[in-house]
Amino acid sequence: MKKSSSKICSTTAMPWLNVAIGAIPIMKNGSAKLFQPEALFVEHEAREYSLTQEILALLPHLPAQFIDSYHDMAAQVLGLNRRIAQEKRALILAVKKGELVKQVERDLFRATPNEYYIIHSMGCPFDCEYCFLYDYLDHQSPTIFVNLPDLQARLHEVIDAHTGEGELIFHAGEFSDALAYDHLTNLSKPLVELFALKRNARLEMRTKSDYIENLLDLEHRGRTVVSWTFNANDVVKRIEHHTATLEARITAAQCVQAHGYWVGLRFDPLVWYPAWREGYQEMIAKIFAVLDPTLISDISLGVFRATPGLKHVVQQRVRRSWLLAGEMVLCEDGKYRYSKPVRREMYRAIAGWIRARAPQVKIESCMESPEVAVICDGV
Amino acid sequence: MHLESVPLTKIDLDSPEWQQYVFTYPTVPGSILDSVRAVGLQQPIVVAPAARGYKLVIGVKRALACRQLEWKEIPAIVLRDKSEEELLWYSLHEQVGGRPLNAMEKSRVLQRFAELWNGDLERLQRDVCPLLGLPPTIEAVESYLFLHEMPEDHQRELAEGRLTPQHTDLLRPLRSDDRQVAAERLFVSPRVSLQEAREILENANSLAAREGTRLRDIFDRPEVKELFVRDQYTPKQRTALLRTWLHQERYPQLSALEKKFEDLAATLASGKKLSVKPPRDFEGDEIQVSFRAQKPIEIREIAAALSEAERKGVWKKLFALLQGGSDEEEQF
Repeated sequence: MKKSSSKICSTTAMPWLNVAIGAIPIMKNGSAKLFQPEALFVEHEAREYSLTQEILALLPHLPAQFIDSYHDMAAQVLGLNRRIAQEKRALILAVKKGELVKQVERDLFRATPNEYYIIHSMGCPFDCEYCFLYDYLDHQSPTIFVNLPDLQARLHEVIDAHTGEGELIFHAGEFSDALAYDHLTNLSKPLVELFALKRNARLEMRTKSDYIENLLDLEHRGRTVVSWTFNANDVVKRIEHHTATLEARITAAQCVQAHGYWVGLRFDPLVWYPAWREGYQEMIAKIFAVLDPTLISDISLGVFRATPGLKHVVQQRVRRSWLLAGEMVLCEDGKYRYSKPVRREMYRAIAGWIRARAPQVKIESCMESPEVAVICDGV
Repeated sequence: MHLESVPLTKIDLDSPEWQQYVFTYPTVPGSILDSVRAVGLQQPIVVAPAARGYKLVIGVKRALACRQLEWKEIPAIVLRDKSEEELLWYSLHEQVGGRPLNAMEKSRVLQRFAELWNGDLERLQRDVCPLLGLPPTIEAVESYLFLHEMPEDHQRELAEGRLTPQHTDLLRPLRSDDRQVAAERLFVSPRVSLQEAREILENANSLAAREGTRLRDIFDRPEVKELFVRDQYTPKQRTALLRTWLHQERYPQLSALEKKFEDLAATLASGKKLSVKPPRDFEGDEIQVSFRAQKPIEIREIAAALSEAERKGVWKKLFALLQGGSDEEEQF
């Protein structure tokens, strides 16, 4: 499975390829903004974990402030944007109680019995204006759960207990970007290696970063899919703050493909804006000009959707946001989406552009009503 | 605590900071003037010594009434050796023990304590919000602190309860000049309902985002201006026309679909007491058909019309439209 590294993955192109974990890497042009916390909070209960000790050693300049619980850490400043900015500057190390591996219940229209979320962290250092976490979490401070041994044990337990049909899929990028903290946690290594040992389970690491260096030399045995959320360049620049540029994501995806990884393409959320046709057509052309379709695991499409709470957050945070410029209507599942004619038009156009370039790749809609999903679902 | 007779000229009722401990809004004496004129002052005011004379703590309307009646001195309880915070608490507890505070007064309380505590929001939520009957949340604090940014006439309406903080919350995310235009369009008397205002602002904002213009540019469009300069519309009609125009502008594809459905439904409902409606915003897969009849023959006519529609394939076309106006629709 593992291919030889192409030129694209040379250390010249990736100057921090071999930098030791935790060192501040030299960032490439277009790289995601590396998370460097300005404040550090540690739950009392978390202090003895080895991951805590490793992270503390990487941040010697930051005095750790000890807290009882990561839950009550909302910033107390006026103004939603200022609150979010302040919260995102702090890192919390905590112990996850309750479910570390959670069954997916995300889609009203589609059963997902074999899919799970891995809750290794919560909150994200990037700032995508459409992120559901703004309406989901008590605060936006990046929180890393340090009880890694508990997570590993639970993963073994769930996977080994699975005797049913089909393989299990574990998503590691739902409550946080899967690779945004990897320079601090190196979590990719134990996760990828754990799944490499399993025959009936697959790990999906979803990211908007280009921090792939930790992945390149791992023995993954094809059990890990690295998936990228891609968006039109205009949307990346205007809405997905601090993330890697479209080009940097494509280059990173090309690089992991060169190391034998499957790559998942997540065109989600698709954002309607006046020049969406040109934007998404250009994005697809760029992606398929570079990526190897035979190493694309699947493609998912989903238009922007928002709970009433998230819509309120967007309205409060961003004046004249593109996110709400389209024909947003309230759908049967209680979320706002673009109206059916708009959704159909977008799916039909985008799925068509994809099929023209990669006819064999599986395309699936995400969180979409059946009468609209039918446009893009299937091969 | 001493009851004294204090010269009115010694009490600060004019400097920019004279309302430091005063939460009452508005501060006009009102009916108290007649009461003092008729029976004198029944209750002393409360003051605290200041660098020059006294600061008023409690009894603003009484003090202003006495001054208007050209009293030279006024009975006052003088609170000595009290900190600024103690005086604020004194004033607040006096207020909450009396009539309910209006929105502007609550806003003032929060402002004064926010200044005193250097914006300590946790303390405001914990210690002050419950006394004001507000939920102890940052959102509530922000909402009420914003009120003092409203123009004076809107502050008066807020105090009178004719405008609410929910109305002004709609303006909060806007730039100040956009706020002004929006307030002029939506909050002038007779104003639109809160729900209508929310919808109008959402649609106008969405259009502004789409076109890369400002909210005020949307309200300045000839089609909108015309609604407001023409006299033939009642306020209700004006609001309805504005909502319709904004809806069609913001939802061109959905509006076109609605129109198609309506036209097609009209062919089978024509002249009959029959109504055929799509689900709201075409989300869902059910068509609602209803009819009214006064005589058995009308039922028969409607049943015949429904069958005729089936024969002509109208139902198939209508259901196809629920898919979103698509290839399926074009098949028929």
